[in-house]
Amino acid sequence: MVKINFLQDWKRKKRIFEKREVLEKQMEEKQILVKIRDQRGIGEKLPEEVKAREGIELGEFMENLPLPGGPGYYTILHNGKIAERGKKLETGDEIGILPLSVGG
Amino acid sequence: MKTNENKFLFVDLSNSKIWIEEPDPVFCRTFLGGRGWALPYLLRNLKPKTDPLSPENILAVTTSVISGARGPAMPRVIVCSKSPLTGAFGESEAGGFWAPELKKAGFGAIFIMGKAPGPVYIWIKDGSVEIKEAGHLWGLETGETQDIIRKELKESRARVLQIGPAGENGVLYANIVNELAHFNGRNGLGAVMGSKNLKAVVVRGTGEVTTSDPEKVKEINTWTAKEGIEKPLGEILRRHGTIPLVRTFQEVGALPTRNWTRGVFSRGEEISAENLHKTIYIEPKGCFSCPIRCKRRAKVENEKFKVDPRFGGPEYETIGALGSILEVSDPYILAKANELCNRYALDTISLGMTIGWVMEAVERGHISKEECDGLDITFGNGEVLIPLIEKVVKRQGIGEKIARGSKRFAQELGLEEEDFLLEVKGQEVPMHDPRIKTGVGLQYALSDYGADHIVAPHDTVFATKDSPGIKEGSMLGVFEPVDPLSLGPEKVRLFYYMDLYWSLVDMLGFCTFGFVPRGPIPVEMMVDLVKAITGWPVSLWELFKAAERTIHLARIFNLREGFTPDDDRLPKRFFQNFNNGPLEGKGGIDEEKFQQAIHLRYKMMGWDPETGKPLPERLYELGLGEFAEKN
Repeated sequence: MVKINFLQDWKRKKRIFEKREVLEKQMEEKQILVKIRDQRGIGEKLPEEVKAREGIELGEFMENLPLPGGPGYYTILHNGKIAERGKKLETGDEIGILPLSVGG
Repeated sequence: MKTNENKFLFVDLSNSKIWIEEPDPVFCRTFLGGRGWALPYLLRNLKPKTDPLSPENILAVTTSVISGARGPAMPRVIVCSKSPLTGAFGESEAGGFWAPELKKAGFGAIFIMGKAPGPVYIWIKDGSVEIKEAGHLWGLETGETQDIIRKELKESRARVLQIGPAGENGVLYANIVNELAHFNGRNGLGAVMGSKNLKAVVVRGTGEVTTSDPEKVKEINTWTAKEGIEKPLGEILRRHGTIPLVRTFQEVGALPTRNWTRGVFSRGEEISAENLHKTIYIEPKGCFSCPIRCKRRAKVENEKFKVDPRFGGPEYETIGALGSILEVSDPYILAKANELCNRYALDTISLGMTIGWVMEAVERGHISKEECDGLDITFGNGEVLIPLIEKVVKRQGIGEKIARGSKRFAQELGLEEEDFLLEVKGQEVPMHDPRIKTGVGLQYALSDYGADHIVAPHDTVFATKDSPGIKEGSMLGVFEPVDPLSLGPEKVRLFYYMDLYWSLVDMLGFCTFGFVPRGPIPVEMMVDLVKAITGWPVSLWELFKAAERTIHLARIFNLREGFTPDDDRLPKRFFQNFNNGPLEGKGGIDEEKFQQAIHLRYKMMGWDPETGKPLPERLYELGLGEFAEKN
């Protein structure tokens, strides 16, 4: 006779349920298309369009781009204006990436 | 011959007297080099209120305790004197090859005083010194002068530090140049050299500068050549120099345009890095032992504007000052104007800014077309630059007035209170708008040698947690980002530290483009280089203290020349909003907050907030008691 540990079984089912919930949420999530204008003048040119999760903030979006050094080494524009990290991105938004405005 | 000597050479041109002194090693370590070596000597030997263009002024041409070793980004020659443009302490650094050569010849610095009865040049070879007649060189541009000197000395590898006709004729923003393309710009120190009838200081050193730990020096150089130049800021410098800033500022809305009345230049694309690479630039060159090789060169075959690459090429500051400030976008005209300025050894920032002032004065009706000698000095007219440069250098007609800088010209017409004069302590502002980088504004206001853009790294390198200053600059003691637009205590503290840092960089003869946060080489490698070359177990703390000494000494120099806290200010235009582009209707700096920031900085420095004088206890703490008593 198989003994059922109800507590363990409940935890297992909960995990599966949670995983499914995350997957379903991800599938439901809409994606946005962000335009990239790469004007760094160095390295491999970034693609002109990148998909991202709807509601993503600019800071997180930039951190996920393959920029040597990270976004802090460049001047980032969002729709032609100096980017604010906390601002949410929308489809059609344009991100400009230029050299940092340093002295010299 | 092996050497790492810091002997000081003294040349009195009035009586052809030459002598050598060996400074105390404790002095060398306490003051390191550059302005550190120059300022104590100037304060002790130069009488206050001396006319900068009189024989009594002293010109200090210096290196540092580390110059001449084969490390990366450390080629600079540092020239100090009383500036004829500002009347304040004058200082200027140049890359190239001259400073290492002087060290290889056995000297650390040259102090030049008096005035020769006729044109001369100083010839130094491996410890021997000679004053030679230079009447045949007077009036020649820099390229010809260098060729003749090398030929007559039969020394093809002699390094020539010289002035051009601008310095000979006393243009108040004349430069000193070595290797035809490395300039001690700003401050008009070329005019000081000219006033002494000194055409050039030529040096050949065949010695080898010894280092305490050559393997360590080599290791850092190898790291820079292999890894450092691949880092983003190093790679941008190597590939494009400083010129990508044109597009960055243009897109942000802060490209200095039309004498700073606009932040976007409608023809800005024509002066972008891409277009200048297509039209005028050829492969870059570098400085002594530096793998970054960031120096632009321009070549134009076009008959109308033929440009010789020996004279370098325009960098961002020149493209801004002669280009967007004047609304000139033709790359060929700009390359030619830059070449002429370099042949005559003339500061392009002060020249462009003074012409910009004239253009606005003409537009506002303060200067008539007749007063412009028939020249059409109006925004957008690039063709006028070439004849105007000739007039400035020869000090003819309106050129005579432009040769004295914008402040003097404005004073002559009673226009010094108008908002279109953009200078600090008499020196025209460079091409970085403090409305988007307030720390740069603090630098402009507080710099002891007038408005300058390389007093400290700029705000943008500390803007976010990912910025190079925060990510890689923890040794500098700044761990949290600082908003580029803030004027709060955190900004004042940041720029206090950064002023110390770049004063140190300058006095050691390092290049500001080499090291974090502006360049790729980590701060700890800078300390390692000083240790490895000198053999001294120095710490960053000790080095910062040396830098701090010089900021106080320069302050004392300026106070005794009559400067007051009222001179630590910004031009009016920076308190106004932008008029076009993405920043239209905003950006003006809050004047009250700016003033509060200046006062806070005084207190952080240990300066009396009312008089600006360094407090005696600060000077004693820095081992500058001698100057506390005289202050």
